[in-house]
Amino acid sequence: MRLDDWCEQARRDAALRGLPDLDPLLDMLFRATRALRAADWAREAPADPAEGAAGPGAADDKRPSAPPEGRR
Amino acid sequence: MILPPGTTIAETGAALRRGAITATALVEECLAAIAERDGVLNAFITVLADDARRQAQALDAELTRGLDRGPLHGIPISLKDIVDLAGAPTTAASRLRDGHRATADAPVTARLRAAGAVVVGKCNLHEFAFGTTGEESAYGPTRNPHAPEHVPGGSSSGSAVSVAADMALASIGTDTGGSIRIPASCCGVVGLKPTHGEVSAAGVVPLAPSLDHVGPIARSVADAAVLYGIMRDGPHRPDGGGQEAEPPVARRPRLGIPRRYFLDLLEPAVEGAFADTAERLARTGCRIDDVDIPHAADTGPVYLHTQLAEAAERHRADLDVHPDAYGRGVRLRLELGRYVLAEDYVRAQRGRRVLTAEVDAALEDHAALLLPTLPIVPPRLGTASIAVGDTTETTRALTLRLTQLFDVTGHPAISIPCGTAGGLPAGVQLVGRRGDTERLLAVAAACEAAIRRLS
Repeated sequence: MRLDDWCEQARRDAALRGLPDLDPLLDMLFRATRALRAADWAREAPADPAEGAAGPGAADDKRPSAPPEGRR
Repeated sequence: MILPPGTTIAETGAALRRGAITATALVEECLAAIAERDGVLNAFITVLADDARRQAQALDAELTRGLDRGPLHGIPISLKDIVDLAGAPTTAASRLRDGHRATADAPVTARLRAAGAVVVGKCNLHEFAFGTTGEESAYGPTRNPHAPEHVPGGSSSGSAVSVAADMALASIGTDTGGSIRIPASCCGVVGLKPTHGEVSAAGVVPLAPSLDHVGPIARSVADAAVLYGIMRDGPHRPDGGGQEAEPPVARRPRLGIPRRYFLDLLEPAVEGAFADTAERLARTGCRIDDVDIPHAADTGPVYLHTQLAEAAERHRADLDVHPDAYGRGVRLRLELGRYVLAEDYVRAQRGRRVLTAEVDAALEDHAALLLPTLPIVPPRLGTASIAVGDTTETTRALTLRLTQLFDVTGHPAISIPCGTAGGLPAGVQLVGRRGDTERLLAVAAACEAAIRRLS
């Protein structure tokens, strides 16, 4: 699944379940997911087509746009 | 105080055997410390005064008859309240566990009790061990014995406090992202996370099974070694193997500092304390140079996708049926784990293999890695985020930053005190080779002696 789509669906699902407080945590999770998918050792996995070569999660860009949990 | 502060378990045992003290007196001293200070510190959820007194009397009688169970005979300890003790509740610091009562000892509890340890009580923790400060507990926050307005670290908060405040001579904690080493550092005691799988986690409420470790918190490396020798899996040796009074001490160990990432983001007080410690170790003969863990900066995402997914899977049914029984913060983090995709969990496991190989390589020519345990001094209770230089991070992310890698890889790691930073205890972390926790303990004993000698 494309990460942006999943992110949108997760937010909607959390709101429907009465968990709007999850929003900032979901932001943190998806930043971490982008970083995970961008790691050079993760390249064996199919690239996420939603993230073009210039996007924040591009395969050649190991750094996320903002630090996820546990990262600088 | 019937024994001076800093007395080791071996010295206490010697005093017991020559009749200078009794197990009963030791237990009474711990119970008195609990009565005096736990109203403020809140280290215990359950105090087992009557059981402890009964066991101590029986163990005193055994020694009188010449029956000696070894180095833990008559030694008062505490258990983190996610470790089962037959007949006592295991609350995990959560209302979700109201009414629980363990029907059997966890294997690790059984080993310690068979070796003569007396359990004085079960310690407070961050709910379900899912937190690093000790603040979120259905039984109220635990406080740092050196400064009660500051956190004691977590999740094994009460365990570390019980040792630091002389309420027990040692304690048993668990470590999924740093939960033994973080509170040990905050409270000025020793915390050992053995190699993953060496100590049975059966009978221990799980958080994320592939990351969960069980280990001791103690006053000294020697004491941690005594407990580790008894706790680890494998048959007990008739000669008391693994239960030696004092662990061996490594001579002039070569230590590697993984500077990149690990020293990139430190509060100035921590940076100073670590530099001072490294200099002391070098002056006493340790050989110290730099090593690199190329993908260390990927640790956070790898840890997060593993830990969240495994914890959410464990709590799935209770989240659906009893969501309000959880504390708010813990519930939200568990719910977050339900949004981790399977493909990302699998990627994280691939990352673990990469990171494990890199830590192995960094240790190839070194007896241990040397790094701070925490990048910050223990924060005040209620601190959600902290600025370090021009970077602001959540307290949770900062407290996990230097410890979580070694849960991800399973390498043994220990935090030992290295003085103070900003007036509060600071710890230095040593990481050893996988499957060689004993060697790590020998290196840690040498470093502890050097730090103490030059203090």
